[in-house]
Amino acid sequence: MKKFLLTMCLVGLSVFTFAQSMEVSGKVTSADDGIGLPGVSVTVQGTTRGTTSDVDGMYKIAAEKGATLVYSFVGMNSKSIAIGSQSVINVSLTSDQGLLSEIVVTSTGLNRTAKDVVYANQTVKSEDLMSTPGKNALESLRGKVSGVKISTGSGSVGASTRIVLRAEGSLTGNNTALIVVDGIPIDNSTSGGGDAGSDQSGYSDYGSRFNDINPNDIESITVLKGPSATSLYGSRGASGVLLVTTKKGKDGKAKISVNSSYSTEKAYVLFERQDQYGQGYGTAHFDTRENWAWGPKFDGVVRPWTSAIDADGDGALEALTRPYSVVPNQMQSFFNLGNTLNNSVSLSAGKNGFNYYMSYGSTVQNGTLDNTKYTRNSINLNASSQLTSNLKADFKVSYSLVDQNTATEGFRAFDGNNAYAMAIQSPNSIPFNELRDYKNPFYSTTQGYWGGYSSVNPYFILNEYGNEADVNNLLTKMSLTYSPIKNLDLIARVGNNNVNTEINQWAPKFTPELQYFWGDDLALGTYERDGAIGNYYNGNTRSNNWDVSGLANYNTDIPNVDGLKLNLTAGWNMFHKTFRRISGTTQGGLVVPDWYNLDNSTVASTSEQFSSKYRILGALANVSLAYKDTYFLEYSARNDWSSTLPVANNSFFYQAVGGSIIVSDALNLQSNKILDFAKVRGSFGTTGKDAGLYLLNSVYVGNPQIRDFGDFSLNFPLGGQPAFTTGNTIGNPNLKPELTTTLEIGADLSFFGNRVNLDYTYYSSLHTDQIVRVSLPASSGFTSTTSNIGEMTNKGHEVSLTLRPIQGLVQGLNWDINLNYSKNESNVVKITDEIDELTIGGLGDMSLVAKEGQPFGAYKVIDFRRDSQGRVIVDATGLPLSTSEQVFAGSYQPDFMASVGTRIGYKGFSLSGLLDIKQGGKFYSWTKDQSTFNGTNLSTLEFDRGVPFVFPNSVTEEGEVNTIEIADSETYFTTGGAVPASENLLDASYVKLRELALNYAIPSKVLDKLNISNANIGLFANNVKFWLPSDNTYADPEVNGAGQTGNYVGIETSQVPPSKSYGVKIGFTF
Amino acid sequence: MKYIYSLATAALLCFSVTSCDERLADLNIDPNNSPVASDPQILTASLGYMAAIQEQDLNEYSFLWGQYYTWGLGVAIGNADRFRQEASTNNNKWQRFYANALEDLNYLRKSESSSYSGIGKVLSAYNFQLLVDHYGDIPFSQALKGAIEDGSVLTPTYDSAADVYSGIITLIDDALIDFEVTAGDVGADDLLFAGDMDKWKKFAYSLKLKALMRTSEVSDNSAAITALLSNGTFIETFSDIVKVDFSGASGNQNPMWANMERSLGDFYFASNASVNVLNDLADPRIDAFYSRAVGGDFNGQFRGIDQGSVDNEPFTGNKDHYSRSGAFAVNSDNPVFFMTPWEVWFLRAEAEARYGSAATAETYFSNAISTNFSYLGVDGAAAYIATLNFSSLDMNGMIDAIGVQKWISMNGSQEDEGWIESRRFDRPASRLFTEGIFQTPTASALGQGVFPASWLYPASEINLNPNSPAQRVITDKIFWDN
Repeated sequence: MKKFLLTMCLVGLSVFTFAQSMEVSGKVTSADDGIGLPGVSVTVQGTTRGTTSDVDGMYKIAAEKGATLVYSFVGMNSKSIAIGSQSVINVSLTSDQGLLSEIVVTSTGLNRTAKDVVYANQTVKSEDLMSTPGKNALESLRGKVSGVKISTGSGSVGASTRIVLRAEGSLTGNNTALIVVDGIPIDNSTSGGGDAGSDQSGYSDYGSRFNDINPNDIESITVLKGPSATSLYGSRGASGVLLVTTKKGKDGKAKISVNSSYSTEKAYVLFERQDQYGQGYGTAHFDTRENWAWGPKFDGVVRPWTSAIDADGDGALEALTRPYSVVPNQMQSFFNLGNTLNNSVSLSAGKNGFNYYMSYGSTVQNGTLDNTKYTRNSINLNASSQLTSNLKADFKVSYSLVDQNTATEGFRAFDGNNAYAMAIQSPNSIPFNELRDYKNPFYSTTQGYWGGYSSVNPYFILNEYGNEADVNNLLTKMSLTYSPIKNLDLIARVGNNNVNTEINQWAPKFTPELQYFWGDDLALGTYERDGAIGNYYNGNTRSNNWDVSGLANYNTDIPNVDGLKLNLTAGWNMFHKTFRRISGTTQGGLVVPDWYNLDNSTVASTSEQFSSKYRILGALANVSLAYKDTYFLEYSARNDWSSTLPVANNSFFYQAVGGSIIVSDALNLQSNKILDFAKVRGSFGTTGKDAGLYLLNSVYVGNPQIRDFGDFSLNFPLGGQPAFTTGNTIGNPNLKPELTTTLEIGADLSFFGNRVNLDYTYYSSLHTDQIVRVSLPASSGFTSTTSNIGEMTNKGHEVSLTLRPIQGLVQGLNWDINLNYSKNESNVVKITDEIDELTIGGLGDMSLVAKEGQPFGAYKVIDFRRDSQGRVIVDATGLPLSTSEQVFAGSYQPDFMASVGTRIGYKGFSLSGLLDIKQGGKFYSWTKDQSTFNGTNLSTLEFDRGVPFVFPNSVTEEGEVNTIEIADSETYFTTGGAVPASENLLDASYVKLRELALNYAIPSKVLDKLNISNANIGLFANNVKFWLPSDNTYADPEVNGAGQTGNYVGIETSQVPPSKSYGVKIGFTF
Repeated sequence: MKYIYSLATAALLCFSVTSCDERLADLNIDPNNSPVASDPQILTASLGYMAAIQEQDLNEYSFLWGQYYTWGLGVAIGNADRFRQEASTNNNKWQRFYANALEDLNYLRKSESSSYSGIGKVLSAYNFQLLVDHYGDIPFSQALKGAIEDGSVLTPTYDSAADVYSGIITLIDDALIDFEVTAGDVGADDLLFAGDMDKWKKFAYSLKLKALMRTSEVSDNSAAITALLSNGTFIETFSDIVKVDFSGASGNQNPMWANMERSLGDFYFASNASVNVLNDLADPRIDAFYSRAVGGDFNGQFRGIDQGSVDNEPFTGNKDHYSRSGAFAVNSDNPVFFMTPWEVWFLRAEAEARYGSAATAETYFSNAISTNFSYLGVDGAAAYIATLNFSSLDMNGMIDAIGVQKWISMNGSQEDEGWIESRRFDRPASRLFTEGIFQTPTASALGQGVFPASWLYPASEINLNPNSPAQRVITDKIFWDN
């Protein structure tokens, strides 16, 4: 990689030879490993003469006696050596540990020192990403960068991860960051059997595709948030870019690294239940088929709890018994102990300009839910070759094979959907430990299982229903760098990301026997429980992305102006994506049970097809000027041509300008004891963004579904007649690109010999001309259209502070503290003249909307109807009335996010921890809604059970103080609509002890004998402890959203909870 | 190097040649949907949507407020059976009316084929009347004009319910003019009549009669009705029946049955409001509407539950010990009815009773009941009709008799029309239902003797359309209800 770096050397096209001149040669090596450093700039101070070292670090230069040679290289401390009489000067450069001379990857895909960069950026290195292994690469970014919002779709294996930088800027478009791996944008979309988020009742999370990358291969992730950051990726990078750099080989001896970790995972169950009342209803009535816990108070008397069956064939019915009491740790006992085994081995080396890094990684994870499993096998090869002195080639092939067997998520518990929701639908006296043996006749769904209606043993769901994904993810890249003349690099790069996903989903066919359940006084009743007709779905998707770019990069000193350097970059980029999905589904149920094939369909299986193509072309230019390495000015411009916009508007231009001053250099503050370094920076620019696919024309839908009734859906053709219907979206042939204008100012400061580093950024973004999917009143004949309307602003502060308070005080002892803080204010300024609200999603009596004057992602809910004094108005039966319209009740935007990470190292030992904090914002809890109705959550103890009560602080509709008694609390909590949706909106704040790790690096004295260059062992823990607001005894506020990577988040529908994990890791290199 | 040059050349070519734009535009043609459609497929779509709306959105809800069924054992009592409604309940129903059914009919109304445009108008009139009968004032004159070619009206204003009714009459009259041209281009895509335009005319005339009669209590349409009765042709026999058939095969199952099957099942039980009337009249149709209790104290008898009082029944009681829906009411291959001969005979009987001859009224009244008996496969119509002594009644008594009998005959087939008409027949002269037949649910949110008379506007429409009126309460009456 270092060879690939640009060097800031001077143009020396004309070399004059003076009388006293002599030739100096030598080798530049790295002090770290003694290996030759290629590409080091060697200049004669005060002249324009210079050269660069070759692949082995060798250089030759003509210079005068007494002159000074300056050796400089990005990421290394420069060295100046005066020439005496020696003609061979070997130099060893030490790497620069200061934060500000770190190398960063810029938006044009080239490397630079952080000092030069005029916009906010933050880089996380592999050792920090991998501080606790066992996570996917995006998860491991949590708490390590300011202004990054990460949420996950589920705690189940292989779930998707949504990453938003700063805040949502697009009202209805994609708001997630673009992920670029080694210069190639990859597809981070989710894979699903259908349109993720469209069906909240039952869906599976098959992950987002960045998860397929082996985190051990990642060298660093740079987060670019501002507009200047987007010049290479243009439109696609409008929501920010994550630049992922993977590991490369280095010249020298072959290195083999082996890293392994093993951890066990325990579900972090946040749902708490009451322990006083058991199964049944009316505080007096016992009923073993009931999912309600509104029954009698627990008395510990042994009673049957399963349905009665003739298990032994003697003609008499038997049932299992247990004391009528709460099951201790009941929800926890529903989950298994999961485990994760990671193994990764890599080999890297380089010789004579050919460098390579190859790795194999394997992850096997058994989820906390029964029969959930994730395996990933990946191979990766990065190679580069200096073919001739001016031509270099890079290659990358990375292939991941992922097999995932996960669970159904979503709000529907019954009919074999969400197993965890089904567990939540069980009374607090049901022992899950026993039900796990779901084939035992007493627990079998078709025989003695306790539940009535269409309930299914949750372990039967997990083991007999299928949600399998098989993902093949291939990322390939090649690039050529040609340097026809000194300081000019021509780079051509072609990358391809091809993802094939096969999804298999099935539901078994079964018919329960007549159920004999126990009622009051242990009277036996009979009940016909629902069966299932069975179903099988097979879907294949193929997503293929091509990314082709050509770049020219030229560096020069400006003649006649001492210290002024110019960098010019110009390039061209094309991105082309094709997507195809073909799927088949059985219809009318399965013929033969347990055989899952499209041919096993009662009536002919149906097939569906979806395909799309998308292309965007871009031309870009970037000019930067540096004066005396102190003053920097950068201008970038780009024009995009997108296939998703109408021909008249499909070309759009945008530009950005930025500058920075190293104040400490400008004012010569180097000698200052307090301030080591100070940089101020600012940038201003616009970013254009194109439209979504196929929004320009209205269409007709062929043979639409009349109604989605699951297994009983109604379809055309009807009566043998095919049907076409007008689509519900009005096409807009006049769309224009969206525009985001961002102003960003900031400062990077370093004090007390690098003991204190402070980066601060303020930004203000205005998002205009938004391409918005406008929800229309259906009376227009349509439900949505797309329009260039809408205006949204995001303003915020980002601070990151690094402290090394005891640096250099005690030999071998280090203590680092990293703090990140970000605060964003989101405001929807305008939607249209006519419409001031957009619907993002909703569930029951809650809608998630974008509304003028509110932050993006505002909740509207039905609330208690109150009088002017805030008293609740009740109806004729004493039950609270609710508002006739939904009212605003907060948003999912947090007030602020912060994190505190710390690491203490002493000799070989290091101890690190990470605390992650989010304050404010709301989330909607379906778990609360359901468990309120079932009488299992803590809130249902609020009024004494079984006794009449008057709703507190209430008035009648006539305005008189209410004295109408409600029969009992069960009536209030279980009567439809009496408990309004507002009661399920919870504070989403949290403080989480995210990571704890203890590492020990085995001293080299011990290792040398074993021929091992380094080795370390460690213990780690993730999600050690959560602190949540007292009203949240339901779910993790971050694990939510059937929308997965879409904007439809902040809605919790009993997703699989996250896990605590404890593990060991070992790594060695030889 | 060559590679770089070729890339650069390709790039330059792409920027300099306009065909690049065309190639980009070609990529943006949606391969997943059709840019065009034609009348036959659109007609089938609108009829399929209408059937699902009628049977599942309307009948499956109104059979509670029409007191044919009530909430049964094993489930917690729901809003509908307590006379509460949340505005969001109606979001999808409203959307399916306008964006699915009516927008497709709007396409047909613009057809160059007079048959299709007439059919589009008749069916639009049918849907708009249903919308008014549930919501009152609705978008009508500006509705369905969202498309660019229709003027891009995205937030239509509301028309008064009475104006919509006038508009409905105009639509039907226009359709009748369209039908005078015999195009002969409608075929099997017409799931109602397979292109038999005479039957469309009967449907149009019958629908006009229904619209004119609905305002009988608030405005005098007697001249128009009398003229219509003498000029029109009407739905009279089973072959005229306006229904969409469902085969019962997977994907083509009756919408009410399918919805029950996919969710909690049929947990509705016979309402005592209906059972009591049928028992009092010794109406033999009760065996077609409801099942008899099997086992328990009421074995072999009809045993309903008082409307909205499932909480008074033993929670764990055996469902078979009660009367539940008969196969005529809920089954996978039941048709969905838009209009039936008995409904139209009742309309004509009432028109005659109000504005014409009592003797003709009696004939039509008998026709109505006997066609219903015969369709249900129940014998003994003549004897039953005799017990009703229609000829002995004064006009008010005739209207009451028609009201009760019409409400009974809507059971199991047109429950929504049954609920609508119960509101009209419940008039100042005779509070037939609210002070007679109907029962107040024990947990009613409205209090004793108060019944719902309309639906709430959907939350989505109120949120998205600034022209929406303020939300109402469900006791607000539609303009024809007094």
